[in-house]
Amino acid sequence: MATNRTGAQRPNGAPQTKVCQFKLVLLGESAVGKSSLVLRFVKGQFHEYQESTIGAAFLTQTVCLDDTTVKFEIWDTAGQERYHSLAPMYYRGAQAAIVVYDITNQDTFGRAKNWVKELQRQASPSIVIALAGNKSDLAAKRMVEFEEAQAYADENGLLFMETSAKTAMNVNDIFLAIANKLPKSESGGGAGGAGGARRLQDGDTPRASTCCK
Amino acid sequence: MAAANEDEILEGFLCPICKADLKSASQLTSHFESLHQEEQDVLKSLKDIFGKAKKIILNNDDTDLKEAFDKALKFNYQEEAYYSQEQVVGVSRSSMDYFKAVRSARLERYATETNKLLIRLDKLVCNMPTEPNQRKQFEQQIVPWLDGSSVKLCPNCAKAFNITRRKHHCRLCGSILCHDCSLFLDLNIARAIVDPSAPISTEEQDQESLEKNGLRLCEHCYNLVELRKQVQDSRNAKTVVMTAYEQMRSLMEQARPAVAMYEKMCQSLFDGETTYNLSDVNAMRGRIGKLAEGIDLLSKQIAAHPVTPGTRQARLHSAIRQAAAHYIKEDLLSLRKLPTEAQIEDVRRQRYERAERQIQLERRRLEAEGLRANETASSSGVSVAERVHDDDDDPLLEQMNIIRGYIKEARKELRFEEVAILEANLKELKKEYQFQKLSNKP
Ligand SMILES: Nc1nc2c(ncn2[C@@H]2O[C@H](COP(=O)(O)OP(=O)(O)OP(=O)(O)O)[C@@H](O)[C@H]2O)c(=O)[nH]1
Ligand SMILES: [Mg+2]
Ligand SMILES: [Zn+2]
Ligand SMILES: [Zn+2]
Ligand SMILES: [Zn+2]
Repeated sequence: MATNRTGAQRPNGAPQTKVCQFKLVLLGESAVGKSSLVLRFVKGQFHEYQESTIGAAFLTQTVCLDDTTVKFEIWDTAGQERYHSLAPMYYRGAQAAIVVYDITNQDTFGRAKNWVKELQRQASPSIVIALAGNKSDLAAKRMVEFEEAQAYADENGLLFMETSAKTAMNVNDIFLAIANKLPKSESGGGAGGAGGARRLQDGDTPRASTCCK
Repeated sequence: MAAANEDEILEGFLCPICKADLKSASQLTSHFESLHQEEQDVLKSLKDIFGKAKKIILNNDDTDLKEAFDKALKFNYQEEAYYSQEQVVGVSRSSMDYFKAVRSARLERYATETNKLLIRLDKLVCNMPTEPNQRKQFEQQIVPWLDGSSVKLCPNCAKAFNITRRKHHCRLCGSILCHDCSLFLDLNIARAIVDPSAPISTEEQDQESLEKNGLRLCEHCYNLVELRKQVQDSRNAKTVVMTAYEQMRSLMEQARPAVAMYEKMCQSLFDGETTYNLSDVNAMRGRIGKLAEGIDLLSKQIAAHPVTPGTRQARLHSAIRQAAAHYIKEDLLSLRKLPTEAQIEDVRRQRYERAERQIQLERRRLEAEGLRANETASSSGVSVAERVHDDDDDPLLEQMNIIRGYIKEARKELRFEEVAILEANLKELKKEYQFQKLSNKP
């Protein structure tokens, strides 16, 4: 991946005019595949034996939209219950959140609903929330119906996709959908200090994303 | 701020602001709270200020930039001037009332909601018909059921209703839910909740009969009712220490009269009386020993109960133990020593001799007073009474034998208080018997 000092390039090589930076947080029960989704999105990798996250992990990735480059600052939180109390620090001030559950485990869906509830109450009111039903490659062991999750997402105004970190299905798509839904102008941010995107200053060096190669 | 390398994946207890790894959750929390909480607030207010400044600049192109900033920041400067003076601790104000107001409002809401449910629960469980259709009608009469015709999904789990997933109603709030989301409250438990004095049958119902007989409730109602039950239970529950202490007190209650009785019996032996045997008194001593043992064990249990050292609870436990040990030592183990058989013999002989002497003296006195006739009559009377001992039909004799039986029984069960009374009775009877024999003498 090339780093471009003058800013990310559009596929046709024309210089970008706008680079926006967003804070995104991943939440969900342990072992649903949060880290796997991020790793797939950022590095294109998947590990059958992904270690459970301790504390939180921080990664960045940039995606190009038609007229904007969006840089994601991704906070992958640890799903184990004992780290629950740390989560507010990470979702505080976040402009986007992906709440992940495992389609083969009904309990993780319930947990995801609780995360959505917590975000609706405590996070920035303008936060864009996406619901990801991960491990869709394991359809044979499915315990959470697509329709059920879709209905829930519709009711709560969430983006929703079933994803697979393993097969990469819908992984880039869900991040892209979020990027599209985020307000791109400085004044576009909602109230409560979460704000919109931060426009990168001259010194910042947005990395070219996969779509810009 | 530590700049994260773009390609690197950081992991750990990362500060969301400066990305430093704080190594533990608690350190991260305190780092974040002490360093960034204020920073964030300042950042936010700065943003506001710059936003204001920008608006002013955009609106009045001709105004000097500096002036615009000054305008926007003016209020802030004033504030800063105020705070730049060193602060001394000033007036403090208690927020207890505010806390109470907030808290009681919340508790109030909780309480009223729970109370509403309890009133309904009370109506439901008393007079509940057993016939299913009647019961259904009865239930709906007390809590009207929500019309579910427009409800397509279970409000709790969002699964669609169909032929296999039927609509059900919470019996306490009337809301709709699916079977999977239903919780069932055992009617016996429900009765115990509305009437805590009612006896609780502890037999566990299996899920099937619980679903058939119990009350179908939504999670919300179930939790409120369950919470209420827990409060009730915890109010009635006794701690291990309390139970041990109560047992100990009851042993002490028993020990007090036992010790008094023992002293009395002992004294009686030393006085040469024949009311109690040595073995009686020994048994009593054994019983007191047993009580002391029990008190010792229980108080040790209380003292050994795990508590945080230095707390009032710890001091209380050790004080209980000390008091118990003292009581055992001073009151139970310092019992008077029993006389030996030989000593008892001795005392009894002395007493007998003293009595003999008394009689001799008396006799001589009577002789001296010249009332010999009377004296011989009474002494021969005694011998006559002794001789007609085999007269079984006499109700007095019968009575005496019954009393002897009682005494034997009471002695066996260590009821020495009773033994003493019965012995006294027996003595009366004997006297009476002798008197009768004497007066019946032709
Ligand atoms: N089949 C399949 N397995 C997956 C998928 N995503 C993750 N996994 C596996 O699920 C396990 C847990 O994944 P993680 O990414 O560590 O889960 P996590 O949510 O980050 O867990 P915590 O770090 O404890 O919060 C790993 O063994 C992954 O290989 C998927 O889409 N399909
Ligand atoms: Mg993880
Ligand atoms: Zn920090
Ligand atoms: Zn349901
Ligand atoms: Zn209910």
